[in-house]
Parts: sequence; C-alpha cells; structure tokens
Amino acid sequence: MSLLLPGMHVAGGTPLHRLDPRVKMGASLLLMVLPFVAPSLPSNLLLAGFVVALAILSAVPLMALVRTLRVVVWTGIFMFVFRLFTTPGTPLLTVGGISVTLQGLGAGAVQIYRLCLLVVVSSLLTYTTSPAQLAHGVEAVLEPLARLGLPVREFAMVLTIALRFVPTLFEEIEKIVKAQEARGALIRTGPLWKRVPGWVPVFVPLFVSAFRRAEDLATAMEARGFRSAHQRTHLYRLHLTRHDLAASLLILALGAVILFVEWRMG
Amino acid sequence: MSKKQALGNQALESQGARPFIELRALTHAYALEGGGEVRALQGIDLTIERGEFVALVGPNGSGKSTLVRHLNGLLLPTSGQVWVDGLLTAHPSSLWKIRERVGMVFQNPENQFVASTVEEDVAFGPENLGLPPDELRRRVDDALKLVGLTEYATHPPHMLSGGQKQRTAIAGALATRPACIILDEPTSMLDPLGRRRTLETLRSLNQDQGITILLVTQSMDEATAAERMLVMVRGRVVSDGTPAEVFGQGQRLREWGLGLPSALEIADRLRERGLNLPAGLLTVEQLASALC
Amino acid sequence: MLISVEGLGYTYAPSTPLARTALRGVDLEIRQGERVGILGPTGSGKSTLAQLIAGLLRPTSGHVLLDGVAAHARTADARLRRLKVGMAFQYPEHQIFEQTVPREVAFGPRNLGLNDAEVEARVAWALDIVGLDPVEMADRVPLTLSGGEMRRLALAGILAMRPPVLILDEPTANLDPRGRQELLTRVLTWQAETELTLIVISHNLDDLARLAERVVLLVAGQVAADGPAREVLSDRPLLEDASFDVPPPVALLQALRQSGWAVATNRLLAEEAATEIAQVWSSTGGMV
Repeated sequence: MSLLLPGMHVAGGTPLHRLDPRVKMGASLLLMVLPFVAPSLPSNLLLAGFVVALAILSAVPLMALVRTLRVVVWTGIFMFVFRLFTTPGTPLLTVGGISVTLQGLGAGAVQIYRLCLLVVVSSLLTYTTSPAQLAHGVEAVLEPLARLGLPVREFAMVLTIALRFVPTLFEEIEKIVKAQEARGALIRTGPLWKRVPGWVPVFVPLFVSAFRRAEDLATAMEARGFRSAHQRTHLYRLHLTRHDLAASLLILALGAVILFVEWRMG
Repeated sequence: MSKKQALGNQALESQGARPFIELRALTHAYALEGGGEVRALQGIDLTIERGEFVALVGPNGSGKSTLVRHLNGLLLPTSGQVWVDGLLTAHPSSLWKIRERVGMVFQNPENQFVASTVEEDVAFGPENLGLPPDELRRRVDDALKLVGLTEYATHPPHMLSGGQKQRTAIAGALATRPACIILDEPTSMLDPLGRRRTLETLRSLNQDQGITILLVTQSMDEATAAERMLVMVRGRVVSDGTPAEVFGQGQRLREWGLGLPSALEIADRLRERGLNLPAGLLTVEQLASALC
Repeated sequence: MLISVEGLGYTYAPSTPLARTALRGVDLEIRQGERVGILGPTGSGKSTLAQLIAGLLRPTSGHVLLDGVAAHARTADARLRRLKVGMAFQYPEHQIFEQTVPREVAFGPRNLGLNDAEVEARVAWALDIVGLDPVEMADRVPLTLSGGEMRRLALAGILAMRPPVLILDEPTANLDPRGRQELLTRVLTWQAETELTLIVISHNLDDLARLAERVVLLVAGQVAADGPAREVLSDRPLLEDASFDVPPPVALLQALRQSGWAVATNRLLAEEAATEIAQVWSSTGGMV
C-alpha cells in the first residue's frame, strides 16, 4: 500500500500508545466535538496546538499524518465550494447570479479545518491503538448495555475480526487488480467508461475469496472451541493507571479552559 | 524411560488400554447439489495411540481433510463411529471436551487468525474455555515458549513470516493443553526454512511433551520423518505402516499418484542401472552410507 | 523481448512508519527464450521483482526496460509491451471470474482487441496446450473444476494472450505430486514450442531444478547470485546463507564425493544424479 491509511495501526511505545483505549476514545470524541461548540479563534488555536502536540507525542511522522488527509481531499473541496456559494453575506465576486461571499470564504475554511481535525484525531487514535485494544475499549464502554441484553460482546468480537481482516482485504484487492491488469483489463488506467465495468473481474474473485476466508475462519474458530461470545474470558483486563488519570484530567482541563474562553467571549 | 513412553504408559493405565483415537467403519457422504452423493470416506477402521507421530498422505481429493475433520467433530460420520479419548464425537455433550483435547492447525495460516496480535490469537482457545486472565497469561506464555515465539507476542500476525504464522497457529492449538494436534497440510504454503522450523517444532512437541501428532502432507520427504505413515486413496486407507514399509511398495505409490522421497527415487534408478542396493533407503544419508 | 533491469529499487509505503524496502540496486538482463529461476526465501523481494518486470508497480528507483521502453510508463506503447509479459500470480485460480471456461480464457485475448474468430482459435489452442479438452470444457463452470484443473485454466487464460514472456509465481504450490509433475512437463513443452522467455519465481528448489537454466538468488532484496542453475543450486555455502538446503541429489553427490567417489556434484535431478553415480561406478568396474 502506498500510503498510510486512517485505520492502520503503527505499533510503538509512546505514552500515547500506552494509554487506556477508553481514555483515548473519550479524548478523541471530545477533541472532535469541541470545534463545533467553541467557534472562537483563540479556542481553536489552543485546540489545534493541542492536537499538534499530541501528534508529535505519537511519534508518527508529521508528513505521513498530513498525507493521510489525501483521503478526504475531494470531500474537503466539495464542502468548501458548497459553503463558498451558499453562505449569504458581502459579495466578493458574482458569476451568473451566484455570489461568492466573504462569509462564505470564512465558513468554507472553518469546514476544512473541522474536517482535517476529524481525520487527524481519528488517525492518531488508530495509529496508537491496536484494533484489539480498540475493540476491548468499545466492549468495556458498552458493557452496561450488555446487562440490558444487548449483544455487546458479539459486537466486539465482530469488530475485532473485521479490523483484523482490513489489511488482508486491501492486499487481496491490490493483488487481483494487478492480476487482471496483467490480462489487459483497464482498471486503474484508461477511460472512465471502460474502468467501471473493469471492476467486475475484481469484485467477483474478491467475493469468492472473502467467502472462502470466512468459511476457513469459521472452521478454525469452531475447531478452537468457540461457542458463543458469552462464556469467553479475556487475556487483557483494562485497568486505569495514574497516567490514564493524569491524561483524563489534562483533556478535561483543556475542555474547561476552552469553554471558559467561549463564555468570556460571549 | 523417556517422558514420552512414561506418558504413553500412564495413558494406557488410565484409559484401560483404549486407543486415543479409534475410527470404526467411518463413512462420510456429501450430498451433491443436483441430487446424489459423493462418498468421501468409505468405511475406515483406524486407531491412533497416544504419543504417536503419524503422517497422512494421499492425492488431492482423496479424503484426507474430510477424515481429519472427523477427529474433532467438525464433521460427523454419515455412518460408523469416531472415538476420541473414550468420547464419541456424535454426542453433542462430548464435542467441547474433544476439541479441548484435539487441537487443529490448517493449511492457510492467514485464514485462521482471529485476533490482531500473536498473544491474543494464542489466547483464543483458552478464552473459549472461560479460564481466568492469570491462567490465560500462563498458558499463552507457555505455548509461545514451546514454539519459540515469545519475543513476537505483541506482533500482528500478518507481519510474521509464513513459518512464524504456522507456529503461532500451533501455539494457539497448544494453549488448550491438548493431547493431540492435527495439522492439515500446514507446510504447503511455506518456504524451506519455514517448513524446517515447523517440523522441528512438531518433532519436539511429540518427543518432549508426548503430544500425539497427525500430520497431513503432500511432501514425501516430510512423511519419511514420521514413525507411522497412512496413505489414502479415494476415501480409503490403502496403506498403513512405517515409512520404510509403505515406501517399500514402490510401484503402487506411483499408481496412487504419490511420487517417492528423493533418496528412494535415486536408489530405484541406480538399481535399474545395475547397482545392488538394500531396500528401505529413505533418506539421502542412508543412501550415501549404503553406497560407501 | 529484451528485459533490462537497472539499479532497481522498491519501497512499500515510502516515508511512512510502515515503510519497507523490498528491493535495492537490482541489475539483471533477460534475453528472449531464456529460462530464468528467481529463488529467494519469503520476503526476499522476488514477487516484487516479478511485478516490477510486468510493469504492475512503479519503481522507487532505477528502472525496468522492455526492449528499451520503461515497463510502467503510462503510454499506449508501454501498455502493449506490458501485455507481452504474461504474469501468473501465486494461486492464479483465485482470479477466475467468468461463468464458463471458454469465456474465462477469452478475457485476455479480448482485451487485446482481437476479433471473435481469432479469440475463439486462441481459446481452443490455449485449453489444448494446458491439457483441458476444449469440447468437454465448453459449458463447464470454472468453480466446479478440481484444484489442478483450475490452476491450468488460469494459466490458459494467460497463455491465450500469447505473451513472449511468461512469469510464473510459485506455479506448483498446493498441487499434489502428480499435478505438479504434469504442470512442470507442460510448462517445459510450451517453452520449447514457443521459444518463450520463462521466469519462474519460487522457493522450491526442485521446481527450479526442473524449469530453469539460469538462477538468480535474491536475499533481502539484493541479488546474491546469478548464474547457471547447476552452479547456483549446488553451491552449498551460498544456499545455506540464504536458509536453503541443496537439492537432495546434490546432497547425495556431495556426500559421496567426500568419501572418495569421483562424481560431479552439480547434478540437480534424481535421474541425472543416478546417471552420474552409475557412470562412475561402472568406470571403476563396479568397485568403489
């Protein structure tokens, strides 16, 4: 794979890697929500600075992190253009009855900033948290719902397996694409009207192989004594350390400061 | 007396001399889509004792995988019986005990991993037994030590080499502390180093831990390393003996589509050219010393 | 077609924490009609090299030239040259997607823009050459074939494009001894009949001993040896460094030589080794 995709995990031993997944999930959620409740410039400078500090702490090369933003380039451009033309205000430029406004420019920029923050924060979460840890975190957070009879453990199990097969599927797609290109199929190159049907020879074998893998996996799980997710125990137990406590206080303090700034600025 | 013999004797006493695995007139038929059926196994009688190292060979489609999937109840007989450690696989209540005692490793290491780290994957079997975390930790550590992968505990399985993946799968089977491990062509996707390490691991598990091994393989050179060898052709066990006995049948092996270990093939050709060589030369070392 | 590989390097996921260099500084030249084996342990970069030769990956450094044109270039000319390199990935049967055997084989020739009559002729020719009966296979669904048949069908789909260069990645993986034997024999026959350039990627020394006249040994992404198969595959220290054992016939000959037999040790196949031993044996009057 030629780029680091959001959702991939990079093993490491940084303080960020060692934090409890529940703390990281909670913090990520807060960091993603804050720009929506706190629109002022000082708050957001503080917020962006904090995220950059986290990125440095994660030991993921900043350029690699920036390149993950390529995934949302088209979404970003669409959102920016949409805001640019639909926000009422002082016209800067009018083309055929539609105006680009100063306010539109600002709103568009804010959209891009929020989108980038969303991608960077979620990337940091997955880079520093293994899929297994994420699944345990989800399971632990949702545990109270299990008492209401919801299938939380099954959900966590499905999540673990799905995350585990993500790299495998990507490799598989890439291999089939190359194999069919070697037979002259136009998939990644050629005119668009030829490319779309070009994916049929990719998806058919992909589904066949996904089913074969699923069957193999089900057999292997059965052979290893899997019955249901309920009587299972876990190798890892999550327990909060002093570091987790400190990190939680820090992130809550950040939230409090930002809300205070917003309140003072009206 | 070696640990292995000791274990074997102990087993004989505790089980009243019943073999560890016993197949009685085992038949298995698959229904075909358009009606009719394929008889994949046609009346197999077979026993495997505790502590044996058995190789099972046969051409593709001869029923090897169908046979081994009966030994831990993944498949149930159409007729006949499968007994494992005194338990009948057809009894639903025995199934989980049988799967705890008979571990299984499959051909494609990629498709048998459940978790995203080596140690968590190894823990999957004992987690299903509902063991407490301390015990899980102990079993995972022990199993990884036995296959020599302790330092890879926190690696994601897909970053390992093929041989390391298969040894992870073996550790996963070991973690339920089984008496027997069945491996369905575990080396067919590995490079020579991966094969060698996997086989060394199996040999030491058999010798030092007394674990019964049933190895399905396409490689005749691998089969010669076993104590006992079974040949399957079209749903039947057509030959059962030491590798020397089985390979002694020369021409029949070719008819079964099996080929010969390299040393045996060279020895055959030398005999054709007039050299006088004793029978039962299975390895290059044996052949070389017979020639010198 | 002349394949020139110059200073070739490839890195997966460059400049990310997951970056992994698969090849570095590889130089090779492969001429039309050669039978070249590329040997290396898992992770030595041999599949990457094959994909670069077939123009399916863009080199990170250096280049692959097919008759002087960069293999990965995005021009129509480069694409046509790429299609002259037939590439069978490991388990090529996993790429089968059509509903009938002839349609599967026809996929490649159709992409070449051939007319119906020509496509039909090529399908029949290719099925015949891999040993599948075109008449019997006319309505067969690929997924109902046996493993060995599916492998051969997939290869027919590549051969039907009549590539002057054929790359096979672990061609006999998962076949039983009989299926393997049959495939190897057929590959050698096609090669001789069509003067194909054959590039076989494998960690199976027996396959390479049968198929290759020249062997390139890759270790950790670099060429560790490049020479006649008989030399490379009988060089014990070289192979052991790359975690391979010499093929059993070579091991036998080397053991005999050590105990005084005047045998050549570079015979890779059982029949060749037996001939060598028998010759030395009879030249000494049956006494050693």
